[in-house]
Amino acid sequence: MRSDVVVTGLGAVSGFGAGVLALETGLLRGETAIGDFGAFDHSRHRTHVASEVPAEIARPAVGSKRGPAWTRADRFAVRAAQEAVDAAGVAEVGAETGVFFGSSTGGLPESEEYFAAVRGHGGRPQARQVAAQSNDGPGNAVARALAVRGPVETFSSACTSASLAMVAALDALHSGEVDVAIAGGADSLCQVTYAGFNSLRSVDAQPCRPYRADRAGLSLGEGAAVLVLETAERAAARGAEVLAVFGGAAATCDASHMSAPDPEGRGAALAIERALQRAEIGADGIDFVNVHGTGTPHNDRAEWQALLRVFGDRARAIPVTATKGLLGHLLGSSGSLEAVAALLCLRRGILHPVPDVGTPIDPDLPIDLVHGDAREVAGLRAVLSTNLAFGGTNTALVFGVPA
Amino acid sequence: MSAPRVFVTGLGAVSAHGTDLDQLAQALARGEAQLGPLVEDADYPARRRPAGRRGVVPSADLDLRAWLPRSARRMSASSKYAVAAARLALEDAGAPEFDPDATIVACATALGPTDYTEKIAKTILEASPAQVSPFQFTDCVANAAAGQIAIDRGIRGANWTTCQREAGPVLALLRVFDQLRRGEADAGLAGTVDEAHPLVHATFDRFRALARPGADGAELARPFDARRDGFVLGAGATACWIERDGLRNGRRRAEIVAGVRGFDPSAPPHDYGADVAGLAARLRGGLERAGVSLDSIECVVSGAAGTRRGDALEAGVLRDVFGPQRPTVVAPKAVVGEFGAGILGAAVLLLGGCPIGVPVGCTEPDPRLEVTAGSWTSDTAPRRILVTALSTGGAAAWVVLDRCDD
Repeated sequence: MRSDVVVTGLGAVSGFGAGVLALETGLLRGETAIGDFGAFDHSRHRTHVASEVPAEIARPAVGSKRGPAWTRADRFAVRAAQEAVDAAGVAEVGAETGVFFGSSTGGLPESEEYFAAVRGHGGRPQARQVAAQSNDGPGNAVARALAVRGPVETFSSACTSASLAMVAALDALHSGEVDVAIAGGADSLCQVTYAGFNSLRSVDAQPCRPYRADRAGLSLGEGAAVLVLETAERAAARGAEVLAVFGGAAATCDASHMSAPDPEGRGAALAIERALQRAEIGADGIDFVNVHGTGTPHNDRAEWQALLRVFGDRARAIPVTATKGLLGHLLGSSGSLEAVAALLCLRRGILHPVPDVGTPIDPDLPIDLVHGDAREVAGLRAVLSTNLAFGGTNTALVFGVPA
Repeated sequence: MSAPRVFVTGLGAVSAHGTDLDQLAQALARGEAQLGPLVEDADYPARRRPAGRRGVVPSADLDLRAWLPRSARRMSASSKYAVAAARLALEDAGAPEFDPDATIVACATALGPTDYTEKIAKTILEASPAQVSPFQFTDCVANAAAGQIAIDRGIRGANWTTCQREAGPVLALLRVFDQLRRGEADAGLAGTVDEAHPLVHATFDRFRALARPGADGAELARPFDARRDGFVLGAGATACWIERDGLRNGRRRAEIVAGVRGFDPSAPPHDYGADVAGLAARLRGGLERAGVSLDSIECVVSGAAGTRRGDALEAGVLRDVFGPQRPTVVAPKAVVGEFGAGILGAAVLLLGGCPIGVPVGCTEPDPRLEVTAGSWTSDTAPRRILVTALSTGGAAAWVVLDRCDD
């Protein structure tokens, strides 16, 4: 596998709590973090479950009232980024470091509060509610917190926002624009997306069940995940521990429908093929796949078709992890959280399960979904992580064990 | 093997001047913005604005049906502007054939489809979440415009949406440029789109970011002027069709030569920063690495929009980088407004020989800035320009464009 870009740090905030350790523990236990939540009053909404970051982590730190105007997503992002940078041992972050981030909601919850106040539904509109409401808020907050002076760019392409950020980060490292890239995403629960997905009847009233015969939709979630990426040369020169190799990445677009994927999976398959090509490995080099796996009938079926196109008959035998089954759909930042989850599985040689909910895998989508118990697999070499989005965007990321 | 050359071969815009690039060019030459009314909304009365809420915005009467598919009736305003601008850019490029798998879309938006988002928020708050329209939700996502362009034109390569406010247009252009240079695509559409919703105007107004009406009610953005007090809100879409090695069916409007990206960590979330030295070093270093000499730049198409801090930061960076021998600086946002990427259109038109005049409101240069909103009215277009894009929140991007003497 192409190995000139490596992963040296990971950070996460999720429904399991703050930190990669909390994430890994929760993933291996295979217990869902999707349940009742208090981020907003959902009594008038059609469904009532989501994966929420624990309140003690989500709320602002006690401190000066004149502190930064951070949104919920900003706090997730900065916490995850700091963990990743500390873990990577990157002492100097500056001119040759870039931040590539994804978010589909940014400060939307805070904008909802501002809007309610403007409309006279309580409280007075406050500057802090709208000061950082833009989708680039979390990425900018990370760049400010780490005093980055290199390129900073936020992508907001729905469910592929953070995975596109990782594609961009890889490109920037390959081109030499940066030596270090902080890539990730952050999103928080908000009513617009909760009601919006419900309007499409895409939300399961129960915790989602990707690839099950009775799957009924997705579950929403929130959190952040960040990866520190750097050139292998730089990592070696400073004696950094290499967690994984970031071999290749690619993006395509179905160009067919705004909210439903191409049922033939052609665009997603093309993204996978291009990512494998750029990683300089064949499809047989992939040992497991972390799927987008939202739990909607359309997504899972389309993704299966994509896997069939790329892997052929082997698609039935490659183990599949479906992180959304535990942590819900983090929308824009899902790609980064799922990349981190995939890397944790790769490093430990144990694939995380989704809960065994007592219903069978859809016989029309005969994947080898890891469910019930975690599965130990010896000799894992490489993982493929896929994401599909509104607007038809598809991304594929390929990571491998260090040489 | 050297990297391929990359050219803008088509330009399309939906703006206060409709879809007519000649009208836009005339406004740029006059230095005069065409402000029009925003769609009124009793929920956001313009108490401080006797003439109502205004901006450099497409007219509510603008008929884009000739440039839109039938499915457009469900599209947000953002998607309509963007799809129309994309079609216009492709027509301008001579309706080129392209490989859909080797073509990409990169779109930037600062504000997103605000109208649909506002409607959804209002429905949730004042009616019921169950009444939210699925069509509005699908098209309220930030990447709706980019997705709709891809669907309309059948473009199946990577589809990027950048949200980085004022830096977005240049970042979108550079995204396409980079992918074409690396050989990952043959062609692409780089676009920017924004709506001017009354809620957005009211919010900017609340924070005193907008140019204030004078005694005569006129609202003027005055880049680099001593009396500058804010920007005029712009809306619409601009799209550039970009090709590797250029000249397929149409003329080459501009060559994209180099780009630089950076960040100012001193910037607060909602405003410009003050790290002149850091940004200047970033720009200088980036141009040097790209082999672009400072004295080859004949004109700076500045993103200065008439804000106190933004213009001061921009002026500081230009002074630091170029020293006393600065190229001519033009400031088209006084005419095209902030957002909607009019600055990209202005830059490409300038390279095609369209003059840019001194903005009508810029008659008292701020002596502290030592930079003036000038004009380029020569019969000969500049050979090389630098387009600048400093953003609130800290992002920065610059692009170097060359004239094409086809």
